[in-house]
Amino acid sequence: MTHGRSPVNDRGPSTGDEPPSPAPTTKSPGARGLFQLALNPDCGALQAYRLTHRDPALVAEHVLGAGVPDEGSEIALAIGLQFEAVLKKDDFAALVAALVEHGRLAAGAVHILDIDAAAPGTDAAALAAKVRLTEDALARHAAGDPSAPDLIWHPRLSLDLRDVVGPVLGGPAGPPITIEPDLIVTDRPRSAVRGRTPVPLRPGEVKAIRDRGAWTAAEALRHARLQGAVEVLALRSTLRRLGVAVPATLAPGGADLVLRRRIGMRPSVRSCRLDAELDTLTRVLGAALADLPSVLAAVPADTALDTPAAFAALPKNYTEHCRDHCALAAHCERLARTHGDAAVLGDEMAALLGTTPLPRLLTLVTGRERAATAEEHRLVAGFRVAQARLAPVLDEGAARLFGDASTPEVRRAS
Amino acid sequence: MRADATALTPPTPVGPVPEARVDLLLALRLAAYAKGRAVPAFTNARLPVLPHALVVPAIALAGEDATIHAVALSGVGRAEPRRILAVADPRQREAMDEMFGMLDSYLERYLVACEEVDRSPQLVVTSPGALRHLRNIAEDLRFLERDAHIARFATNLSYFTDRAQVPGQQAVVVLTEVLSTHWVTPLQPYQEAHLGALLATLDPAPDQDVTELVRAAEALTMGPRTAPAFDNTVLAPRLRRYTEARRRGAPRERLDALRAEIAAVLTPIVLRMHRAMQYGLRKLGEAALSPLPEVAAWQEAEREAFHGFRDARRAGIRMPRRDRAKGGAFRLVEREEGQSTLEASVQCHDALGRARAEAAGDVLACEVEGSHPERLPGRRRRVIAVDVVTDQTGLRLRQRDELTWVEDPRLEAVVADIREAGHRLRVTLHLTGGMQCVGVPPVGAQLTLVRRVPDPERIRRVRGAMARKLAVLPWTHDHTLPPPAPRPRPVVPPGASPGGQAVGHAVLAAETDDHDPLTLLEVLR
Repeated sequence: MTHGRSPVNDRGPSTGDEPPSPAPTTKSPGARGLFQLALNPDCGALQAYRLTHRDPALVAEHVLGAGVPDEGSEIALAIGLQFEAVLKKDDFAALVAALVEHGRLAAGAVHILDIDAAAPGTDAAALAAKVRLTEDALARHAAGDPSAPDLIWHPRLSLDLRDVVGPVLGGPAGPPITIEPDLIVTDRPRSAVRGRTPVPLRPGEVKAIRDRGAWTAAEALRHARLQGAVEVLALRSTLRRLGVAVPATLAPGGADLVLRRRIGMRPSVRSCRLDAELDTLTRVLGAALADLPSVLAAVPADTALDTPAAFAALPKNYTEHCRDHCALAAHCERLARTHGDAAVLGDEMAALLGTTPLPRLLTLVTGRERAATAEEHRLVAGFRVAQARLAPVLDEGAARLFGDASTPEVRRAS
Repeated sequence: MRADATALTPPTPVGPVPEARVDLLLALRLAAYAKGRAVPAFTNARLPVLPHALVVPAIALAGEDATIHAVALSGVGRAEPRRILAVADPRQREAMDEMFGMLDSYLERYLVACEEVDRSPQLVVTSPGALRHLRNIAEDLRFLERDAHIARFATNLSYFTDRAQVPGQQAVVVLTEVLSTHWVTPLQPYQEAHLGALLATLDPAPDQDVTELVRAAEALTMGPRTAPAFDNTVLAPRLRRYTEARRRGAPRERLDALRAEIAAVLTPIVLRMHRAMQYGLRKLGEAALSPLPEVAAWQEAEREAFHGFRDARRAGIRMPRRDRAKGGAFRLVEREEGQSTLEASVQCHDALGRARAEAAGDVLACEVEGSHPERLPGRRRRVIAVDVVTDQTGLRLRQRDELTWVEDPRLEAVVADIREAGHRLRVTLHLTGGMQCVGVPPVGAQLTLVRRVPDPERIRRVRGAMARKLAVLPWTHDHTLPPPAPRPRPVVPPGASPGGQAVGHAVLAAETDDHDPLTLLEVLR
């Protein structure tokens, strides 16, 4: 590892013989953390935190002093739990009925393995048991064992990133990441295949959003699809570790979303082909792992990642949509404003200005300084042409269009 | 009808492009950043707020995006709403039904009143999220069988949510969209969807840090969702107490008190949203924007759409869940024509719109150099060729493009030739209309030529043509046609040749048009 920093073993200070306590920001990324990388693939801060198993929300809370923890509404969470309870009631009757209707299972006896019920609890022993039960069930599937469960509820998979991106140049890919889909179900009824031919599997996610066809919440669907793609990769990775030669045959690349119908709590199953999302994630994860050493090199060697100085040093890519998914958005925005980053005026402005800060551009277009590079000349010429075109439109005339740029924000960023 | 050139892919720019291509809106956004406040943008109103519009700030319960937890019912220019309705727990079906029943009564009275005075209704909401909220309710509930009033409410709401998708519509004012059309803010465009953040930039005090104002504004919800921190610290404990009390069968006075507690924390939110909406409406009023010339036609079209909607409901015609092919085709055309007309109207009649179009090379702003008659090969009559010059860079123009003069659409021309003349472009136009009634433009005249002038009546002609064409559906979409009758297979008599041809007096019983290869093999065997 370059620069003396391991990308995945950067922990808090050790106290003698005891194992070092994990930093308060330590948290395995899970499916959500991995697909977040696809939402902003150019953000070094996200890459650094997620791939070193740190939670940006915990960084915001404990390192940057966000004050209010990043959390969702517990009312919405309660509705989600209520929906899950409806699905589980009477031996998963509602869920099974929906999956039968959707062609995943055959009506009649369905073998269900409820991992939560079989290994309750969240201590180390229970988690290890969940893993064992999951792997045992998957191994039986791979062998074409007809006694393998048709539906596995809350399985526990693990994703080795090397299975996704191949050998990672420049360093380790880190420990396997635990991924917990809501369910794994057979792709089609066991009766549809002959003999001991293994039935393909697909992960599923339960979401309490309403299925409104084309009007279903687009952003929520997009995130759910990316999450499903991470789960497909985790399923393949687990199957490979179990000795399946071609995991993609058993986990072809589809996932199911179990949503709520428009009214009430009945489930609606929506199938997703995830080829595009799988391609995206493979590409994004590969690039993120390859870039990680250079990203971490931006942080001074004697500075821990869990510090404000490290956050300030990490390369960031603040965009308009960061606030949709990242707890660090408010902090990145403050930094962007301090540096006069054009991203504070939107992605289109950021694309136009590139690395030219906003105060610098204002200084040039108001004539207080002269452009020093070809790019600055181009920008100044473009804005002056725009200024001239706006002259007939503006009441106050174009001469003072960009004012004297003396607002508190511009002064702060200059 | 002429082929619509705007439907074609714009050609690559002609001529040198030395400087960065800066959209005028980006330049205005930089100006807003420099000034620390929003700056005026488009100068003509596309969607004037009607004095009788309904102003409806509403919030939903987190996780249930088709509920209404609290709503204020108001009109334009009111300091306080007429009424505020709130339910303690929207998950409780009876309470939600009662709320929707009251809203149905209110909305139906409003629509009847609009009909009586022959005006189209209008709804004002805060943001695109608020419109989505209403659409969720409309989509989920308009087929509800257990309560006809709720179904009617959702159906009436569907009028607004459907019309909102048609460019040029006058039924729904999404306040953040209208305000951000007429002001460019020093914010990210995405931030402008928060009404409070946008309003904070319109009129800040001098030397006030607009960034801090915006941050403070963003911390306060503008609907339809409440903030998670509010849910977790304020609302959830009260909801829990109320739910527990109901489960225990608490006395009515206790339940009323708990309901009042919940309403007491929701009311300030909708009141704040109401104040913000009225402030935004006031700013629009103070701007006194002249409407685009097409607004009158759009308002007339809205009136007709409204009357058509009401007539269909009275006739018992239900709004379909999904469009069939014919209905879908009409809707798509309506939206395409609406978008085309809106863009043309802004280009032609809005000062910023025209400046933007000139900067983008979508319109030709030129000066007449001269004109002369020209004889074209194969044509008996000469055409009038007009030579014009322009300083525009990145002009999107090509030969055979059809152009119209903005000031008088009767003058029409076709681009015959484009060539560089130093740092300028010289374009030769062949006049195709208006030579007599408008006249040939004199030397030195400044012309602005566009691909299309706005024509709000065109949609009627297109719909008429479609109705005639689609009076009989093509067989690919006509599900009323019976399936083709199966034809008997040909009988091959003994002694027939392997090619299936009859030998001797044996005949094929009937021809088959079934090209199933299996069937053919059976015949030949």
